[in-house]
Amino acid sequence: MSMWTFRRTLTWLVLLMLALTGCATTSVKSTEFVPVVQNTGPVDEALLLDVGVMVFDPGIDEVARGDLDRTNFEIRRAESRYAPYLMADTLQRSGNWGAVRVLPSQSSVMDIFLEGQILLSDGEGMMVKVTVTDSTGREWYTRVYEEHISQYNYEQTQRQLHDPFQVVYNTIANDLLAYAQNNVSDDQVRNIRTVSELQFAANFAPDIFGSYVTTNNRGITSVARLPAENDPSLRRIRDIRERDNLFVDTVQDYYATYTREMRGPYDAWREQSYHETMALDEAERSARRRFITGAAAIVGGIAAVGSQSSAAVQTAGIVGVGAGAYLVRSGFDRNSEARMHIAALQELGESLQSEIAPKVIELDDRTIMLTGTVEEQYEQWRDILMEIYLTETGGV
Amino acid sequence: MPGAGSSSQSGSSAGGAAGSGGLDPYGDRSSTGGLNRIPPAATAGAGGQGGAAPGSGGAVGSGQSGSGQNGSGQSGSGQSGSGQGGSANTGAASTGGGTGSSPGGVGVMTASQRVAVLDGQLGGAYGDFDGLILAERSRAQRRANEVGDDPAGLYEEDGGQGGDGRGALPGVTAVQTAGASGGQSFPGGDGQGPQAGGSGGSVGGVNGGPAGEQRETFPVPDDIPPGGGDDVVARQIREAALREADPELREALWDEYRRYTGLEVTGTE
Repeated sequence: MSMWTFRRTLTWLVLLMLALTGCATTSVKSTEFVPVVQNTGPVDEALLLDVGVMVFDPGIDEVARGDLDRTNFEIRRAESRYAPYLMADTLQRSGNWGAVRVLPSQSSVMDIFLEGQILLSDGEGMMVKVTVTDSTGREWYTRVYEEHISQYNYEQTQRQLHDPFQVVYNTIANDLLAYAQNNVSDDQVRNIRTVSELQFAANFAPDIFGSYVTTNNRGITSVARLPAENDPSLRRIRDIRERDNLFVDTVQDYYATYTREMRGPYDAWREQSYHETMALDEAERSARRRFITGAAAIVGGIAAVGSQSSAAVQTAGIVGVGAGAYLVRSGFDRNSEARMHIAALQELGESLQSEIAPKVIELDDRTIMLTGTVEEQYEQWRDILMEIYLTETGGV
Repeated sequence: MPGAGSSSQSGSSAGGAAGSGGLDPYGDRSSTGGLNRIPPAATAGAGGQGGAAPGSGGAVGSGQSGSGQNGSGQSGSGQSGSGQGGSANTGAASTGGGTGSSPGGVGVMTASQRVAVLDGQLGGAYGDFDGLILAERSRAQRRANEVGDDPAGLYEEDGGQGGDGRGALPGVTAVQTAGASGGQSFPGGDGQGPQAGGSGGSVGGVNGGPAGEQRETFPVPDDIPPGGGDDVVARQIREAALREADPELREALWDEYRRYTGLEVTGTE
């Protein structure tokens, strides 16, 4: 009887330890590539919406406390300028939209605004929250996109084809098209485009054009009245808007060069980060399992030792306590291993940071400088527009 | 009618494209119902009001509004509004202490003439801006060339989706210099369609532009020397005169140019 109890106790402890420490996590990752969907059929150019992809929110405020030590904020900042360019490029190549531009700020009015917030980017996974609105202020949707990739995505043949996380961009582009096709009528498209133009005019010279649009208490902008198609003031504001587009396109050149500069080192970092992240996750999972199992074994062993059972049971309890202590210790070892991976990630991050941070600064500086110069010109134009307006209307 | 029931398409919050009911399709506004359509601003309103423009010369306020744009006739007939710019009747160049962008020394002008001058200023400013953008894009192009298509040397083989056959990075469209591709043109060009060439090449001359319309110029009067030494204001008046189709207005602009640059005024006044 006592031998049976001993065996039963020992078996239970062994099974528990095996169950908790032996089960390797198997990650099944899809390598299915989602292509960009292109709208079929004839497209009326007047119905093509221009898309502004805002510089992404790096999502630094959203980083969980536990992930702070594995997140490099400078790299996030760099990604927040890199990812939107790939997003814009994907949308542009789809051929489903009008002009697609990366916008450093919302000062330029586009028909659709796509805003993104990076929630995760570690080479293994990418998570982005995307919000789409149109120029009327109407929110189309907010969705979170998450993709985890395999080593396959970093193979040279794949990297020559597309970004390792291209599926994310393609899926976002496809969702945007699907939404527009299913939820936005042609009349609404025309209205959006009209509001865009008048909103630009109202933003540029509110004293002259402010009354053309109205915004309700829900933030929805609509056309209050329309200028005549041959209104000279409308022609002037169109001239100015075209030049504003030229300015924004010049900024695209900056972003294109920045993206090309960043891509090589960034991809290399992502691949290394992928391996470190996988190893880190495994080490952390393993450590967690060992702590839990060890603690359970110790508790069970102590209970057995303290029981009124036979010496054999108490012996099994002592064995259990010993095994539990071993597991806890190995859990600490795994934790140390995890810390090594974190240190490796931080080192990798600092290496990339030192390479790309100056490029981010250069990009931002150049953009700000050009924006300032352009704004000075705009001020001059505003003055002239106002003079013309007052002259034409007699100051009324 | 466009817009009617459009919100039913949306399925989104905020009532869809609010207010779209009754709006006309963009670009086809001939049949808009229910909207308060504003006619083109009448040229030259009440006499003397022009002087109220910020920074404008005080002599602007001519009476006799011309009909339509560039209203013909009436030039020089202005009855200055009371207190505006002083003795407008004389037709003398009453600068009125104008500052800012208004050309100093503007004589008696109708509102349409003044608008033409201001449009000329705007055109000149566009030219400056276009020059700035061209220079900046050239700089960006040089920088892009320095960086190369594949600075890290990781993608020396032909690119994928975004590749242009030159080994460019996949998915990264190369910088396109303004005017270098078919889809890119400055306003006023004949560029067609906004979408060609991906980002960086997205701005076409969608509607053509004023520069294209204004490209036609008229002969320079014999007594006007080459404008190489003109300052900004003189250049703007000169450009406005060169582009002005109305001979009377054009001559008034040339007179203004003569006054500004110190030449002998030979105009009809």
